[in-house]
Amino acid sequence: MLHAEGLRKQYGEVVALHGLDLMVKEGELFCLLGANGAGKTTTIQLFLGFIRPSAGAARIAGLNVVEHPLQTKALLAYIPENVMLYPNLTGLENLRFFTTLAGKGELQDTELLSMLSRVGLAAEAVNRRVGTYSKGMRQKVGIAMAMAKNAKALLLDEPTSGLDPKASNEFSALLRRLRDDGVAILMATHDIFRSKQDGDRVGIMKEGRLVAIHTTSELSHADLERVYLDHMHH
Amino acid sequence: MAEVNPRRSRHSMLGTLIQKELREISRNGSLRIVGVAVFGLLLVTLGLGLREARAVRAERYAAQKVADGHFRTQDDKNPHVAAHYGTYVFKPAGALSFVNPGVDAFVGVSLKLEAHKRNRLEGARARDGTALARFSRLSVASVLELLVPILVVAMGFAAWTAERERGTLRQLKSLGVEPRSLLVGKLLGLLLALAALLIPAFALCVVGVSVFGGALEVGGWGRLFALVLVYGSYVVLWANLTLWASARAKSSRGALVTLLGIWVSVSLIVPRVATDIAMVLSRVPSEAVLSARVKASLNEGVPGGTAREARVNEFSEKLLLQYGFKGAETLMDASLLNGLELQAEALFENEVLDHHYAELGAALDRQERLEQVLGVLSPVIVARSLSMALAGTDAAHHRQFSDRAEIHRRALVDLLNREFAEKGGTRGFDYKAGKELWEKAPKFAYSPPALQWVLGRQFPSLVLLVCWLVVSALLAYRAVARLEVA
Amino acid sequence: MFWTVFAIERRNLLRDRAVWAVLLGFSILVAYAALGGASYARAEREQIRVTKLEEEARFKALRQEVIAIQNGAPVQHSKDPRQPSIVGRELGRQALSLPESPLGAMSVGQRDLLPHTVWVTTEARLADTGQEDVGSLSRKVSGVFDLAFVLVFLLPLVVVVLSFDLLAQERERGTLALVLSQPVSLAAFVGAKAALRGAVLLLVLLFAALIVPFVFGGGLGGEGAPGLIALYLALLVLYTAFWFCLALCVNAYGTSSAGNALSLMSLWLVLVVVVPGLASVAVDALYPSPSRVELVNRTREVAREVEAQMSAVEGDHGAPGESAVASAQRGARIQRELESRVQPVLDAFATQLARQQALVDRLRFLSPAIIAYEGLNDVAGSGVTRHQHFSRAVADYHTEYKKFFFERIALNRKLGSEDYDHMPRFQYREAPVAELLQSVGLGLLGLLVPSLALLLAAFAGFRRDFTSG
Repeated sequence: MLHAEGLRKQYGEVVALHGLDLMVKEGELFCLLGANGAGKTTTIQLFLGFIRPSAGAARIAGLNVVEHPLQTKALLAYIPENVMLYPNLTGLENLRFFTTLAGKGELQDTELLSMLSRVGLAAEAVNRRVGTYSKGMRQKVGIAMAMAKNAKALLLDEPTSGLDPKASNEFSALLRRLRDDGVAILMATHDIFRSKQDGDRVGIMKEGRLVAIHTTSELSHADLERVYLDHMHH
Repeated sequence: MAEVNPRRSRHSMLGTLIQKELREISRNGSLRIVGVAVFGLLLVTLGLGLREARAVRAERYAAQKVADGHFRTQDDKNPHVAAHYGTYVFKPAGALSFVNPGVDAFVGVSLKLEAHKRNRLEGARARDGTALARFSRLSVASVLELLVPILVVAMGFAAWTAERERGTLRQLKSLGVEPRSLLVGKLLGLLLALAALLIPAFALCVVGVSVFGGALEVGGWGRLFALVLVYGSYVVLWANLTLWASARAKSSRGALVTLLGIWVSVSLIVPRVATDIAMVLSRVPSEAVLSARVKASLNEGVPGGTAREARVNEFSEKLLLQYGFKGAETLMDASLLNGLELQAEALFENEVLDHHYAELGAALDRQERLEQVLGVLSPVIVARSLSMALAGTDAAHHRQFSDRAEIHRRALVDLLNREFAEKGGTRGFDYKAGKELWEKAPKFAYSPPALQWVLGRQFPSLVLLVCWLVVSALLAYRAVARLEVA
Repeated sequence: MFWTVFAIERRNLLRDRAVWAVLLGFSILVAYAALGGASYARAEREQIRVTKLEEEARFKALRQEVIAIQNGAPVQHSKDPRQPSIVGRELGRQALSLPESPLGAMSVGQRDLLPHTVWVTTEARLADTGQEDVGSLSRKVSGVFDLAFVLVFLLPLVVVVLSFDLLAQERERGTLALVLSQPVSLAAFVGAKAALRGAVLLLVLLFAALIVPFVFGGGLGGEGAPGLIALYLALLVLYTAFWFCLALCVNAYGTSSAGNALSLMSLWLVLVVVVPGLASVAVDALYPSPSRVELVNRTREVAREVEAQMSAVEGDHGAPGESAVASAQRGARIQRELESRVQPVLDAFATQLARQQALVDRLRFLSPAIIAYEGLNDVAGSGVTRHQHFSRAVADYHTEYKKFFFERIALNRKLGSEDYDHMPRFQYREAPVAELLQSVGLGLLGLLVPSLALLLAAFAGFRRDFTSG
């Protein structure tokens, strides 16, 4: 579903990403681990078409994101580190706005409300202005968007950083559900523990290169941590 | 460690704060561009102002010489006919008109002095220009009054908000730096950055004045110094307002929008509205109305006063006494009779003119004072009023010139009439005087009023300037004292 | 998609109290300016009316007096209404007024400096003596608070307030990233947001620039008014469009909303204050007006020479024995000679002013503010061009007037009541509309072209790499 072919991004002399090759299948949750500046966010932004690749291609369901920006975006959902919504609008209004932008204007309010409750947003909160929401609540609205949009691929950029453990747990559960529904998920994260727990595969990035890929079922938690730190030190 | 003198360390801390502000300002590329642009505009307007002032000076000086020549070389004629022929005086440019042209372009420059009439000054330059000339009038004063505040705002709107947005405010506060020191540091940093721009401009101004010579008359330097103080306070005031708004705002964006809103209101909207308010609250008769009133009074006497005939007779009697005659029936020369009558008439006319012009002057004074008081609504009004007054280009200076010219006119007419009365003998209106008399005519020498006169008239503005300065400083201080970190 | 963004934006904008405050404040200022302009126009109209009434009454009285004298009434020689020299020089003076233009209340322009009414007698016209002065000196210096001021200076600021953070705010809030992860192109998203603001601005314009002035201003009727109003609206719409496109462009290339606000404010200062100021300096430097001060002395010299010449030719010195007729004839000749010799100097003023205006007409393309201001003045009939047209009409009439009286003075013919009926009267004819159309039309083009260029540049900017920062 998500497919990078020799994906490269260069800013002047600085190479942010060296020819990345990666494939995330439907129903797979792929975690990208790495230090700040390793190229995780660049990879996600290339899939989103926010920046243009210097070489190679990012494909979603076989479509090049540069050539088909709108078709590919219709297939994917994006949850940034901090889901920012319109503070003057309520949660429901925000969801309505973004799903309509996504071309799902036909969804009824009841359907949107049921999605918000499925992601665990309290009923009293949905009609409150987003300005009053906590970060966890906003991340939930982000997931609801992906569900409402019926996204085939989900891109996450450190979505759980700064969440408390409970919110973080709830978020993980939601992600697993989406994966089980057949969504291809690419998540950039610092969290080794969650990568091992939630991810099907883990990729380790360093200085713009994907240096290793591991299947989480083959590794213990401690192994993953050791492997990661090894890569960081060499 | 214990050796460190606490006083010393505080000073060096202030120095560090100032240095940091200066670095931040001077390393900001867009601020540098804006600063250079403002500096360039100051230089251009200063150069053009000096050139203009010199040209005007030369022109008026030459014209005055020609006009004096005309009077001196006129044909032999009866002195009273010569009083009708009259002469012209030309208004010299204001002492510092190169800084602030003020009302100069909108009022006349040439004034005909003749018997029986107080003319108005003619030949306002603005009438010979296009509308564009009024749309935007660039001068040193307008750059200082309008553009420099924008520069101050651009330099300082993010002074506090950026510290907060970046999180550096937390750092500073956690170090135990007092808000007052921070404020003083920021203020001085801002002002020093501005000074780096304005002091060279001022130095060039002084050089320009000295080199191009003669642009400053006696007392001009005092006015220039006062002007520098006024604009200095004005800039400090804007720096205070900027730091206040920045400390109060939630975000840099909010601070900037607030400050620009204040700028637009106090420099574009309020001054015009204030003019309208002053016009409505204190009515001044238009020139047409005034001249109609004067005309009526000249025919009939001042309203409520003695009728023309009777009043002229009273003056005649007095004059006769002066000349040693007891009664009108005494035999005397035709010229003396004519001359005395003319003098009596002139005295009556002067009385009428005094009456109406005193009334007009009082109304204008009221209006101008009201305009000054409305400076409570906008510091731009205060600075503008003081600047025009110190530059010698406000309406009061114009009136003062016109009054001085009127005194001169009376002296001239009186001399001619007296000459007629005393020298004419039996010839009456056939008597002709010549070159000797024309040479004896007093020369019109105008010198602008002293600085004290200006300051006295501008008392409300001076008080308001101090008030604005103090209030803005207090506002800034209070806002900073209450500044919250997050 | 378009309507979704449009609707959300509408809600966002309407919930923003600052936007309401700005719109309300702007409407109040417009209403105030409309009132001010209208009261100015009313005062002017009143002055013209009073002058005309006085003139009519004066002529009626003179005509009756002539008839009375013909029927044997006594004559006061210094005020003899049959004497062409006396009537021409004083009693029969004519007040020539520049009638108010249909949109005169919109812009005062140069009208507070240039007389709307000038007096014509047989004397040489050495300056436009006539009524002016509606208002105080400080108002002349600061400029009248009229619609032209509000629209040219403040309308762009309303545009700036509405659009400076069009995109920057989304970027700063972080919502832009989420929006752009949807199948929506940035250009379409911005287009929808811009369209909403465009619609709001259009409403503001319609309300503030058309309805409010009509309600508060009044008296915007008259011949040719619909065409003028159409031109006025075209000017405003394009002027607003220019600022809007500029704001879009700044949004496309700017980084933060505070930065955008500062850039737009600087651009406003440059285009509205600095460029017009420098342009006017350039006009002054290239075509300086002749000096009125020198004119005074020149006139005096010429008068002296002419009198000396006349005396030399005629051999008398205005001796007491001179008959009234001879003196009148001599006076007429002096006036004619004086005028013919001072005329070149006076013409120099007019020529130079025309040159200045021609240069302004070219320089205006440097700043849309100049285009809008000049255009509004032209449409309101308050510009230099119309006044010069009026001055030429006055000069033509003056020639006719002098011819009438000087002919009769030369022939020593007294005026009868029938002469009063045939005395030339002044009829002002406006300059052909084509001239106005051409000048304003070019101005409109001068607004349209840069607006389109900015729009293209803006959308090129919106197509660049997007980084969420």
